[in-house]
Formats: sequence, C-alpha cells, structure tokens
Amino acid sequence: MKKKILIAVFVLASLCILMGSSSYSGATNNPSEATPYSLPSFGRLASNFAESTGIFSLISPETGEWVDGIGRVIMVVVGLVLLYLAISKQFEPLLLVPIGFGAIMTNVPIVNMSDPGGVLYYIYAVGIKTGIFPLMIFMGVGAMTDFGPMLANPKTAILGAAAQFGIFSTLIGALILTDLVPGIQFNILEASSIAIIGGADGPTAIFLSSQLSPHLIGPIAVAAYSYMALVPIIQPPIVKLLTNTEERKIRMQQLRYVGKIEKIIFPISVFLLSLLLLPSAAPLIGFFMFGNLMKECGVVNRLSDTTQNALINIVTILLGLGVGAQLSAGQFLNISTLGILMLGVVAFSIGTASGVIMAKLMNLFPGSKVNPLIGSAGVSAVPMAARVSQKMGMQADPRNMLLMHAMGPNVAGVIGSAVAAGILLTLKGIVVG
Amino acid sequence: MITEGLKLALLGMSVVFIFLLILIGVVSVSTNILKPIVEKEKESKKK
Repeated sequence: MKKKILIAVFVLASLCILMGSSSYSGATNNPSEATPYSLPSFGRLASNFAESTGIFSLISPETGEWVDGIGRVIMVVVGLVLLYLAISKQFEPLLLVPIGFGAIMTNVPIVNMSDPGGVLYYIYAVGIKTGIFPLMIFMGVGAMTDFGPMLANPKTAILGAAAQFGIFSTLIGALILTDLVPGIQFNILEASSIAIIGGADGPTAIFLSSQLSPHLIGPIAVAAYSYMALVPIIQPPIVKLLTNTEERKIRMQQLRYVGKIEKIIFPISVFLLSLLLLPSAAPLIGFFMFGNLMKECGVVNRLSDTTQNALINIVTILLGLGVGAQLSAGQFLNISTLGILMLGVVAFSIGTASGVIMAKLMNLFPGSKVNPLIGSAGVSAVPMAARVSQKMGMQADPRNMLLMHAMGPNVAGVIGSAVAAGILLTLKGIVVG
Repeated sequence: MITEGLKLALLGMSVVFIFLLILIGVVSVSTNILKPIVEKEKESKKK
C-alpha cells in the first residue's frame, strides 16, 4: 500500500514537471515572446557546438595565431612526454606528474584555465607569484634534512660553496648568449633566474624566478626538475673526467657523533647569520631552518610530521599544477626556452665540476683527505647527488661508503644556493627600484 | 652586459664563500663549547 502511494506521488510530480516544462517551451515557440533562454535552430545549434569543440579550435584558432592552434598541440605532447618520463622512467615523479598534467590542462583550448578567472591562474597567483609555495616546500625539505654529516665534518661545506660557481658562470653565459644569438634577449634579471638552475634546487629556482622574471617560471622549473632527475646521467662522465681511480678510492674518516643540542642550535645560528649578513636570503633560509628546527627540537613532533608529510604533499601538488599552468604554448614555444634548457645543463655541469675541483684543491692542504667524488654532491639535488657519489665510490672500491660524507656538501649546497638566490634577489631592488 | 655579469659573479661567489666559511667557524666554535654536553649525551646513549 505504502509503495503504491509513493508511486502515485512520483507519477504526479513527474506530470507536474512535464506540464510546467511544456508550457515554458510553448512560450518560447513564439518569436515575439522569446526569452534570453531560447535556443537557435538545430542547424545553428549543431554548428555552434562544432565550433566549441577542441578539434575546431585547434585547427582554426580564434586569434589566428599558430601558438593557439598547433602550438597547443605541441605543448600537450610536451605534457605527455613529462608524464611519460615521470611514470615510466620515474624522473622526479612527485613534481613532473602534476607539472605534466598542468601543462596539458593549461593548453586546453577555449576554457583557458590559466587565464584570469581560470582555476590554474588562481593556483599560480596565490601560491607561486607570491612565492608562498616554494617557501612551504623549503620548510618541508628542512624538516626532512639531517645536518648531522655537515656538523660532523664542517669543512665539507666549502664544497657546497664551490658548486655554486655553476650559478654565476651560467649568469655570464646567459648574457653572452644575449649578445651572440639573435632572437635571445635576456636582461640581467632573466639571466639571474636562469642561472639559479645551476643550484639544482627546484624550490629556490621557482622562488627566485617568481620574484625576478615570472614569465620564465615554466621553462626554468621544467629545466631545473628535469636536470635534477638527470643527475645520475649528467654527473658521472664529468666526475670521471676530472678524477683518477686512485682519487676515487680515497677513504674518509668515520664521522663523529653529533649531539642533539648541536642539531638544535645549528638552524637557529644559520638563520641569525642570514639575518645579519643577507636578509634577502632570509625567506628561503628562514623557512628551511624553521622546518629543520621543528624536526630537531623534538617537542613539536606533530608539526614536524605534518610539515614533512601532509603539508609538503599538498603544496607539491599545487606547486606542480601552478608551474604546469605556465607551460602555455605562447610562453614556452620560443627560442628563449631552448636557450634556457641549454644553459641549464651547462649550469649543472659547471657546478658539478667546481665541486670536484674544490675537493681536489682541499687535498693539497695537510689534514684528512677528501674523496673528490663528494665534491659533485655540492650541487644540492638532495639526496640524488649524494647517491651518485656513493655509487661511483663503490664502483672504485666496493667497501668505500661515501653516502654520509656526501650528505655534508649536499645539504651545504642547499644553503649555498639559497645564499646565491639571496644575492640575486638584491638585484630586484637595484635594477627595478 | 657581460661586465655586469662578471661583477655579479665575483660578488656572488665571494658572499657565498664568506657566508659558508663563517658558518663553518660558528659550527666549529659551538662544537667546542658543547663538547662536554655532547660527550655526556653520547655516554648516556651507550649505557
């Protein structure tokens, strides 16, 4: 009985809706009473729909510009290549998956997701243009970093400093390209943003370019993360070229025990040092050291856990999509991008070579010897560069464990690249202001 | 432009080295000052 009543109510309600809709459509049949909701003829409707498809827009873009047609197709392919590298080759998948997908989304025709009003635009404007996302990532990285190896053997920090030569030599390289190659025009701010790729530190590269030349964020981020993923391919030939087998066999002294109090004082001292010497680097170093202090102090484990897991994961997704949003055809498909990709690999190579050469120079002085392989770890890229040193060390001597020794210059390189970014950031005031 | 780059590179590398050398100094000094506390911590961990 109850079921029958329910069916009756449902049928009545459906009839009411149908009647209502038919009276409404009846009203629209009369052209004189047409409302803004009236539809054109079926033919016109079908034609409008055809024009609103992606295929039509890609073949015949509204603007008539090639970048809005075939350019978008090329960028979708670039996005797919990034996804392939991330999923199949596992090259920096945490970032290349969101960047690759963001690149495809931003090149969807008609909806223009990265234009003002689009969702990707707001992700970019809120988190990347302001520099918030890279700093949040830096905080998470800080919470995951152990400075113990560097504190146990502080002189390895010099290797982290030497590797920053890659940044500054690339800066000069970018300016030389501007002079020599027609079509490439980098001003000093753009050259500085490109040069930071040599720091092998994604968040620093994104932060600096968001401050100095936001229009280059896309290619710079792609170059930085791609080359970071390619560290195991780029570094070994350079290191082998600069070292002999005997040098690669050098065994380093076992690292001493580092106390908890030392690990707590360290982030505070580094931040105070940046506050006194280089306030422009304070945002990067500050967030990095804040994350590390949360980890080491041991009284805010919940915050530390959130920072190194949930928070960094959320921000990574948004940062990746925001960077992907900058990979629109108009911004990416030009000769400058080729220049950036080329300069990026040069920056990495020079940074690697500088670290190795510095380690060899250090061995000229009396005292405990340094295996030059750990010099290449000075180019941040934590912990990939340190793993490369370890692997190469084991190839020369299977019982030579270099990983912890290489972590010293590796984390010093992160501080070094943040300092270099701080120096380049001071240009903003000088050149623009 | 290239001269500007050279100036910036010289300044930049100097500051990076100075910053990290001072940091090494600070770490070395704090290591020496904190040595007794760290030794005690190490001993208590061994026990």
